[in-house]
Amino acid sequence: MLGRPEVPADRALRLAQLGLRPGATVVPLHRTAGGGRVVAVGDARVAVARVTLGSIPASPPTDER
Amino acid sequence: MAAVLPGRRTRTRTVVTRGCCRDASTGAVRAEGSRTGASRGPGDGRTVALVGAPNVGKSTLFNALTGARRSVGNWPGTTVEVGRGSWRLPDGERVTVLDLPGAVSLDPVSPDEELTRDLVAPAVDRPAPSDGVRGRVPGAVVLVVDAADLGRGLYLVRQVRELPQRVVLALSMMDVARRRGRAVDVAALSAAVGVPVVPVDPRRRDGLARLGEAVTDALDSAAPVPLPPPQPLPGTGGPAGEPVDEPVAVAEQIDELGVAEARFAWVADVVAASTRQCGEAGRGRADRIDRLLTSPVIGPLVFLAVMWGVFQVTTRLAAPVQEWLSTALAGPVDDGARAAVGAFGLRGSLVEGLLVDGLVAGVGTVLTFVPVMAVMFLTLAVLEDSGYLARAAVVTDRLMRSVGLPGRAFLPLVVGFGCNVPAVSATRVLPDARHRLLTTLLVPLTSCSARLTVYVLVATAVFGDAAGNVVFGLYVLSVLLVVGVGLLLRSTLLRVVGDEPLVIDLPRFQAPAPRILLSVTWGRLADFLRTAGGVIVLAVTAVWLLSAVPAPGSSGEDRTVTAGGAAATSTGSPGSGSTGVEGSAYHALASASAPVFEPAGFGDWHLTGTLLVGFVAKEAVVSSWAQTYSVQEEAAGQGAAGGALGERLRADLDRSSGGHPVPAALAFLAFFLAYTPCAATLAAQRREIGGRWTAVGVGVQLGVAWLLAVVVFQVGRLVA
Repeated sequence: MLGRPEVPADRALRLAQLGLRPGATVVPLHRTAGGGRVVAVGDARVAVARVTLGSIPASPPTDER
Repeated sequence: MAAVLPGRRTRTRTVVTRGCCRDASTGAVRAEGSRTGASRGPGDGRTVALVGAPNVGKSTLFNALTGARRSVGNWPGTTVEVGRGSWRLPDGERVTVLDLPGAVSLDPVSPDEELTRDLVAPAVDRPAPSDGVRGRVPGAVVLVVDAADLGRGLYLVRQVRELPQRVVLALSMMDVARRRGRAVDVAALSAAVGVPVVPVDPRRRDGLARLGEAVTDALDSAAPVPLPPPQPLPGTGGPAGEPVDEPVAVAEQIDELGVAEARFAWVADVVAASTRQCGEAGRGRADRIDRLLTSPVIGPLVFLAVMWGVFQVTTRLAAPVQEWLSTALAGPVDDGARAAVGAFGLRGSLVEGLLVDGLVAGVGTVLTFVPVMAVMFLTLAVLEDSGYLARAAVVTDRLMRSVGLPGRAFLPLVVGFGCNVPAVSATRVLPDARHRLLTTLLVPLTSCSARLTVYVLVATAVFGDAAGNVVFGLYVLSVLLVVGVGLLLRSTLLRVVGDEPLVIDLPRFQAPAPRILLSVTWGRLADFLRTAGGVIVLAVTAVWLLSAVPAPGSSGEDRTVTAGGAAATSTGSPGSGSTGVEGSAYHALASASAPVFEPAGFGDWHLTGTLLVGFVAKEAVVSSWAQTYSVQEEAAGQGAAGGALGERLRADLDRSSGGHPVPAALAFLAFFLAYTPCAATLAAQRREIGGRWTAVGVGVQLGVAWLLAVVVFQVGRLVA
């Protein structure tokens, strides 16, 4: 489960609109050529740079999910 | 069952329930207001805008509705400008349809999204319209939403529903949603959102009539009551109920995120009310393919292999057809044209020179490259429609970032491999102004398809069976030039370039639809032929005039004059069938520039003359060669690789390089790749980055191209 990204608000908003928002559950899938990762956001797949991923705190999903 | 919208007289269609994942996907709810209502609502009642996130099928829908052949692709950023077409509604009325750039939301992060926002949600404090579109409010908005990923599309829906706007929701990708085990209840969705919802499949043209009916109803009705702007949710800094750890700098930003959270809550409610998951998502195979295509090691190798395959297929598959066309052009077509001119008593006249040696030879020679272009456009369309290009953007992200560009900059650069002009416009997908500037300066270094004709001609003439490898090598060189010049610019003129980490949506893979592939291929081919046709007629006429005019200081007596026709001379006769070109203004201009290229091994006026023509348009280079060599008579009956024109080129390269035609050909091709693409690209650059930076770009292109050509020739000569 994702926390609040430590990025400027406009970038945080765009991440949220792509599904990477506080409270959302994402599944990291695999590393990419640029050092980032492809993550599953529901049915969608988003490639995210390592530096951006590093700015988003994450914790294991809670049991109720 | 179908929904009835509160407060509205509603016509409904039967929604057949056949079990999970099938129910409610076969019906559409049409909401009607009063057809005689006094309130017509906002906007231009006869204009409909297609709006939606990238990759939901807006342009495909636009093409299906209007019969247009707008470029479509399964990757973000395909549409960066507004497309306009005419749509005949079921009641016979024609309305204007606008295809707007993809937008995730009405909070733009790039100029293309800004354009969409300005059109859908105009405001008095924004700039006045300047392009005939901006600021003109459409009468209705068709929001295209991906049924397989409903949650993401609904955020934009919510924002548009907060505006006083007539809205119809077109639900695409229903088949994908079903395959993913997701059932969308169309009626429930319509009730939750408060607008008509119509499932469509533009690739198969399903649901278009129903969409037309819904739009007709919407246009004839008052706009629905807008949803109230949401109030910021408390505790928006983290998961629900958790306190904000590190608040952002200003309260306004917190409010913005809080409002967004309120919208997300609405989206979650709508999704819960209108969808059911009744099976496994089943993306395992797609994820495994993604893992390979974007992996750190295999991904770049696959990318190179794919690109190599494209150019092998392009050169080898099209070669037999091209050869057949060349033979036909040199024989029956040329004979027929001369006979037709002779029938009017114009044999041996200036008119024969212009028509037969100029226009027929020029246009005909370019037509012989139609098979090459068609195969290339088709293979690129396959890559686009399959969803591969977005993966390629991920693979090249590190390469792009090495020159200070985000991975998304790869997308306009890929467009540049088709044509540089739309590629310059495609830089608008980049949020950062300096990224756009740098990318715009690099676009001319991407090898556009018009250059391919010259590559194939020269490579076939000089390298024979290895032509495919040479052409592939030129495309690799193009990528290296983008990186090299990018580094050069970043370390000199553009030291401050912002950093934008990669965040890119990977569209789902799909089997390319033959109808889409053929439509895209034909559209691009027609564009090429239209541009090439117009440019060739102008260029051929200009070269013909310059060839017919003696150079200043020349009496004309030193011009080669042959009684039996130009083909008897080595210089040919572009101006007429009876006089040579030496001593003409064209010859003088081309000869004046020739010494500049002697260090590069191609200081021959035939070659440098076409470089001048190529500065205006690369499409006209082959035709001007055919014109200046005037090879029709000798070429008759020859079917050798590259034909007689190729043989003349090889002979000139051999002579100008002192017996080193191979390095001279490579140097010529390297220069041809790197120097200014065409006047149209310069105009597009001037529009995007201004005249000063465009001039800087031209200087960089010419300098780099000349230096590269000299290095290639001198090193090649030593090695040889």
